Amino acid sequence: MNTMNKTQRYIFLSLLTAAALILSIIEGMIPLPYIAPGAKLGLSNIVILSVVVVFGFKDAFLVVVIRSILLMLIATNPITFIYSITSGIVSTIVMALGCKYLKNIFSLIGISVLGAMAHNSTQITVAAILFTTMDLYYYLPILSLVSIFTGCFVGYTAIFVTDNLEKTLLKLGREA
Amino acid sequence: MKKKINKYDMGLIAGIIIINVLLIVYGGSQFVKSNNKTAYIYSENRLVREYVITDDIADEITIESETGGYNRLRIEGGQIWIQDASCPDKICMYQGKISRNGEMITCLPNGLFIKIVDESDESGIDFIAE
Repeated sequence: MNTMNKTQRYIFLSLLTAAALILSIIEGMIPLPYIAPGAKLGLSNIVILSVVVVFGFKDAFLVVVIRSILLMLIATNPITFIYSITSGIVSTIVMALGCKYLKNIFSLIGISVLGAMAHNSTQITVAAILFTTMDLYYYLPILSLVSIFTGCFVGYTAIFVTDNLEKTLLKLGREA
Repeated sequence: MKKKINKYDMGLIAGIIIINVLLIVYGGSQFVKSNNKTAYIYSENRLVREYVITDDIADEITIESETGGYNRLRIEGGQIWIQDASCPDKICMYQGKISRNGEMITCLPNGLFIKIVDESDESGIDFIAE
């Protein structure tokens, strides 16, 4: 988005970071049936994926890091922080690469599924390193199946979000 | 950017589903029921307890982590499960009762890891990482 000036850009990114943070907190309040450790909706990924598409990788990276730090201070603990920041960063990298090189093949849904898979794999890898056991990879197939459903949902929502976000930003650019 | 789900997305999703269902089926076939099994209980990467589980044992163990958390384990009828825990999400409790070779319970916030190993199993598919 070249039509925005620096301040507008920062304001939008702060708003989106706040949205990601709030979605993360709300997600913790939604009771879900237990499937496997680490299985969750990943609602904040809607925001992250939209930022990747509309603003690009660098800004998405910032949003992920700031969201993880704030989430640790508000709702969770340092151990959860290690999981959330590493998997957040890796899934952002995967989604950014997907947006750059695979956007002619996959829609946002495919890219979001890839991001969700990367998120799970990283989380399990980090857990396997912390626990020094490879056994935890036993959870990976189940988590991957879950991530397909959440990934589709996140991708589908992100299509609408990016659509509206781009329209809003265009309007903003015309008024400026 | 494409706006709608297309055949490549479908292909990706179908591929992932098939691979993972196969992996789950394969993983499930690795579990064998036996009577000579040991529960290895790890806390923050240290083996804190080894427990030979038989059907007539009933016991309660409390494992405390260095960060001040605790997990109360219950062993009964050849099964082991977590009765109570200090962690906020209680995911370790939802993992239910484990009794078969290779099954495990993890509690990420407290760094607890329980794994059942069948000692009579000679195929050696499960070895303990020190």
